Amino acid sequence: MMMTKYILISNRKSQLTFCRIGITIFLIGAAMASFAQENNQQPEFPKDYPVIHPQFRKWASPALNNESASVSPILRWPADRKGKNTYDVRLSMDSTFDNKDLITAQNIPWTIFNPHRQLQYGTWYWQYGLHNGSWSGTLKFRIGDNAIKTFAPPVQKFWAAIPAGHPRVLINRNDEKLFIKNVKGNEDAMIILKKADDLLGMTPPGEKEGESKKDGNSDMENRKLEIIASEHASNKIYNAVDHFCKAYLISKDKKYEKKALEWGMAVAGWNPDGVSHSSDFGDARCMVSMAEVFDTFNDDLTPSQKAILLKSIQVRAGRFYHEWINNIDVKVLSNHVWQYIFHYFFQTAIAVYGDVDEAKNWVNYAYELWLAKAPILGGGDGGWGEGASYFRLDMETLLGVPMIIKEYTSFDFLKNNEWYQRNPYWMAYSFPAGSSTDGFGDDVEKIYAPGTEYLAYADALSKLTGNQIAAWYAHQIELAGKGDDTVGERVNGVTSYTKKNKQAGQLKLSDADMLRWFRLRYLRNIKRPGMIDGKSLPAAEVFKGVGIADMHSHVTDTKNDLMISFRSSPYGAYGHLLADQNTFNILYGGKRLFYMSGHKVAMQDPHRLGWYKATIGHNGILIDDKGQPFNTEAYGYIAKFLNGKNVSYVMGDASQAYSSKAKKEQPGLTKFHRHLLFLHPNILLVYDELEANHPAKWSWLIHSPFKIDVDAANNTFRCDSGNISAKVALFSQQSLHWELADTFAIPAVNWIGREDEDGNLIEYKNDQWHLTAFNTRKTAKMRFLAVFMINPPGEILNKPVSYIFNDKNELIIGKWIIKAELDAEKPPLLEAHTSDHKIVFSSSANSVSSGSKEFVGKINGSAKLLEWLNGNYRFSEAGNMIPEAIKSIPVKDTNLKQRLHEK
Amino acid sequence: MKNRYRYISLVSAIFICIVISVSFKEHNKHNERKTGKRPNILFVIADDQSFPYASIYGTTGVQTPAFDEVARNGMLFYNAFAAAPQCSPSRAAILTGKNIWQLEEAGTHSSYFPKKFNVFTDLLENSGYSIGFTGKPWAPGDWKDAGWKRNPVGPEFNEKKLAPPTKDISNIDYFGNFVDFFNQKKGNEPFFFWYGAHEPHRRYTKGSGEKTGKNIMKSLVPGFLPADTVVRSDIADYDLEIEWFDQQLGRMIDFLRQKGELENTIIVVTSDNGMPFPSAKANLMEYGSHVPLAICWPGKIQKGSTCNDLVSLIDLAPTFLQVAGIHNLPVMTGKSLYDILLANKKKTEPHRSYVLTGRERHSDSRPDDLGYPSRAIRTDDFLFILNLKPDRWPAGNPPSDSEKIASNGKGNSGKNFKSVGIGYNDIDDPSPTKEFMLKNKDQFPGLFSEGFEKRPAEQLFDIKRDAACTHNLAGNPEYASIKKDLKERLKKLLTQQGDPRMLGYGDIFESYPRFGLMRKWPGFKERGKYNPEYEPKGMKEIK
Repeated sequence: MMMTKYILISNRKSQLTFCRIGITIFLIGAAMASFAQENNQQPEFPKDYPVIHPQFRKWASPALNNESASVSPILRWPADRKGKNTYDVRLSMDSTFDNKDLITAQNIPWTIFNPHRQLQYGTWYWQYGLHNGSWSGTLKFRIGDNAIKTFAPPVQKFWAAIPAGHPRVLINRNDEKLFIKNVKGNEDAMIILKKADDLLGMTPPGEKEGESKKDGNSDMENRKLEIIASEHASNKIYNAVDHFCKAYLISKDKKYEKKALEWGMAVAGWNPDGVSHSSDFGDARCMVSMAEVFDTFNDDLTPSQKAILLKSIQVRAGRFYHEWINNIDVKVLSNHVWQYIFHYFFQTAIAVYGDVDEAKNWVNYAYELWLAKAPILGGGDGGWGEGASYFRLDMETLLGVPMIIKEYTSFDFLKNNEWYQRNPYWMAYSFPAGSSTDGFGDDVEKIYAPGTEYLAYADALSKLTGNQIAAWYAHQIELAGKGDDTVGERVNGVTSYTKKNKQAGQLKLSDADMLRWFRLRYLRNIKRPGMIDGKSLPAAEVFKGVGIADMHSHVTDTKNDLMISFRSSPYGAYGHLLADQNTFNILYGGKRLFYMSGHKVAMQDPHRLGWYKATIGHNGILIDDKGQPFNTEAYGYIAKFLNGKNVSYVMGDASQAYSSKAKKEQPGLTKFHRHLLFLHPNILLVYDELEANHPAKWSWLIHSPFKIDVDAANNTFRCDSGNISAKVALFSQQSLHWELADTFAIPAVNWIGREDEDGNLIEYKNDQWHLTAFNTRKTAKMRFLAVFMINPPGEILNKPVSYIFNDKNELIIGKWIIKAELDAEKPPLLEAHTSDHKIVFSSSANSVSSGSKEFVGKINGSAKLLEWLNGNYRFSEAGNMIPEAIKSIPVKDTNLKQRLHEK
Repeated sequence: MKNRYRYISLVSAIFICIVISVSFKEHNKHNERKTGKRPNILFVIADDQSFPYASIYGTTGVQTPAFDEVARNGMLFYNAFAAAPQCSPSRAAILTGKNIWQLEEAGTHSSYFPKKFNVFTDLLENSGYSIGFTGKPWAPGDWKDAGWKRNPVGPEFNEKKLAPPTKDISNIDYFGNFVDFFNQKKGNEPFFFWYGAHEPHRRYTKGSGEKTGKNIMKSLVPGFLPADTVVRSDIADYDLEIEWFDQQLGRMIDFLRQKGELENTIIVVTSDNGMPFPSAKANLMEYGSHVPLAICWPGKIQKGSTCNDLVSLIDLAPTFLQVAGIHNLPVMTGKSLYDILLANKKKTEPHRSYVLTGRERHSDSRPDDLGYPSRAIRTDDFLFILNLKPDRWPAGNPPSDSEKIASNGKGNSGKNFKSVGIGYNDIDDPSPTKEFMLKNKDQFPGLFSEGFEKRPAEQLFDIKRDAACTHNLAGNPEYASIKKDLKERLKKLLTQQGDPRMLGYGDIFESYPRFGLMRKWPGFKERGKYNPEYEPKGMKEIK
């Protein structure tokens, strides 16, 4: 506030005048100060950002004067989901929208507008609104020199390219004859024929087979059992019909046509609102089965057969369409849609285009939806938010849909989307050949090696894009083989759920059911490109978009690799994404050592919700025994990452991950920074900075499939698998209490009756180990430092866990000297250097030195790494990386509301 | 006529030249063919033999024709040093190419050999060499519980026995076992064989040397021992054992010659540490770690060459791997001798101007099973020793009277124990020389003091003048700057190599288990267990 000086004057009139002047000056000053404060007020990340990827879109983009990545940016806005709404859009370089070059669109049934044209360089303004309703505030973006110049053509081109004749879906009519000739003797073709032959003797199931025969113990269980039964019956239909159609296209043998028609017509007679509708997968597989029959045998169908099929298809496809518009386009994730159903829907729309009027809208929507959102949950840098297990369910769609688009528009979505270029890195680093996954996402505990699905996908991706790391990854999977040949325990007819692949030996492509038809149709004549030189691969990679960092000691040699994975995701815990922000997993030689725990029984299962998905089942932190809410608001992000030759470093910020307004969970955690410093090849430091708005109990959690032995008096523990040994010390200024358990707090029960490949009931073993250390005296601020020494086979097993300090109270491990600030009242600091100072790391010092050389860096508070390599110093630093997505987020501040819509 | 004779002579001469050159070419081709494949390696290591106890060094009283043959056909080293003056640490250092302070438990005597350390024998085997040993490999110590499936040296060949010439010489038929090894290896595989004699490790059959006709007056008595007949006779017994070891080597060389393998075999002969006498073995003075070394490799190493460079036995591992053509070596501290051997290069690199040695605990010879940690740097001219715990007895504690009575100097005193006996247990027993010096310490006070009594923290010896290390110059102001320089160099090198003694946690060596028999000294005496008193303590607040 300005100080106002008053001048004393002699007479009363003058006094009054000057007082008035003074007050005026004062008021002006106050207003100026307020204005200055207002305009200097910057949003603080993450404090002012309650969510990065809300469940439903909350803001329009592009906006906020951001620079568009494309010359043809796709406009998107929040939905008004009450009623069947459509929207209008207008776009112009004139902020008044009063020029002849105005671009408009009316009555758009969904919340996407793609100009499908190159916009001029410069500033653009746009608005959206309900059809014939009022316009939104004006939104602003720029197009600059760096914008990508390629873009997909309008849907009119797509429509025009769909031929009148059939088939279209599994194969193009024009390609049929050549296809039959070229696949003769092909191994994939022969496998399809064999499978089709095995199905010839079967008859289609009755609709009643889709009804559940089991009773659950609750409404939730019953509902799940219904869904499973519905899916089961529909899967049978689809499996048979799909094989018959493909076998026919390969051989033109009428026996397959006959069976396909038999099955297709059978399901066409099912009530589309009946049991097959209980599950969306069931519904979709019935729909696409009929569509495949309609399309493949169109020339041979009678008019009444066509009518019956079309009628049933239309109900199902129309239902999907109407459920999706104004919904899926604004939703952050819709698992089933993007896994298979969207692909089926798109194929169905093409199959019946021209025969069903609405199919035109279906094609339009599918096309625009894909261009606007794919690859959903991918972020921009190649990761997959749901993790390695569920990624498999999206593989066919991720490649199949771009091929559809390419066929009808010539636009190559794969080559024009950077995600596909980086995706092989995510696979190679988070799920190396011969290894378990990095441990994030539903169902990861069920898979022990990439296997045939990843082989097929990586092979196809490499061939379609020329990607050499995809080629390398595919080759590594082939070499790693089918996994080890141990079989899970089977007692009293029950198989314990640790069964692995049975056969050893190299894998080959024809082993993969995944993408089998895709290979036949698209990849027959394409050779895999040359492989990247594995030696050129860095030790670690980060995928900020999905919040994953994977660090390796030997990324190209799984048998000797120590892998450390870390998650702190902007997507939070939603759907198949678990409540595991700022957690880590450790694997050695591809085998799990410290790993997420539990079993995914079913989505709403109590064990899943109370343990497996919950933070308590992961190597993370609880505050007052509370974990992270299941919501997109409960997010983290990767703030810093350094990728050295001898050291890898990542820091995650999960300060927002423990609260959610929507879930009404506010445990009072205000800061959670977790630093992982990996000193190659076998030392990991995990340094936690924790703060709350009240004195809290802080629980540090770790889980292992192997027995953990804890020495509570010395705050150390060890874990030996027979193959790997690990010794860990947990340092803290606070006194710690330890609790060790060998059972889940909520057991995992197979109430669904899941069976293994041989039809035996699966038993979810309760044989993992869970260790917790927590402070005995509550405190608002807490620091932990965990020091992991992971040793390969041959370490002396009965050697005591001991930690060595020099006279400066620095921790010495081998050649490393380590320092960490554990006093939570002092600024945080984590440092490590070798005894010869040839490698120096600091999480936040102003500079790092080696001998007489000092390296200052350019970023305040950055993490710094100095390494002496090949006769030279290499210096790198990492400042805070804010997620790209927040650039699109308007700050939520009632005083600054006008910022949402700039004039 | 004359012209015809001249013509015939000329033609004959030309013909002869052609024949000679063709033969020469064929001979070379033969050699080339022979040496085209990777060489065999015969590594021969005596147990407790000091430099210069081999006849080619000019030492009287001992005849080592096999060692001499190797030296004459290759290179004789005058300045080779073991990494430690003790069996198992020295052998661990040879196998890994690292100094003992880099080897954790294996840096102390008779402890574990952690599996984490790469050994050159495994690397040779992985590259296609057939490997094996006879006699003493890495020992004493526990490899089984440290994760090894076999001794770190390789598969054992010790089945064959013979009747030795004295009852205290080993009955292992080293040569017979070598033949067994050779015959079982696959056809054209190159081999690495470790002949580890148990000789001349004590005990010796007393008087055996003299009995076989040795003139004990010819025994080389080093300056740190009294030149008494007891000592001379003891040394003659020691010489006899060296000769036995040498004879077996001779038989192996003959065998290889008969098999046509000698031309393609590199033979390395040395010892793990010095002679088992006071001021020698288990000491960093010269005779503790200065060892004989001869290497021959027909066609490669120049015959009759000598080397005065300072070399360490930790240089052998990278040398073997290099001759075997193995790349991508694990990190080793030793540097390959390849260039010296083949190109006769001398002192081209800084590291050849010094060697480092060190010791930790030897036997259980002090209360609490403590060691006598020392480090040393040896240059061409000087030996500087840093004794890190000078308050301790360097050769072990003398026994208290009660301990003398309790053990009565007789036999073992329990399953895991042996007697304290006459004390000073880092000096091997039974030793006539040791007993003599103890009995007559008043007669040889200086020598007794050097060998048995407490020492200052720093010792400096002018090696060229005082190889016996009897005159400590560390307190002499004239040598102050030399001492300072050597001390700083030593500490800097040790710090660079990660020596815990330099980094502040050296007591960890005292915590390591000992698997040899213990003695009933006060304090810790649990065989095979870590001593918790000296384990680095846990949970400090770190900053």
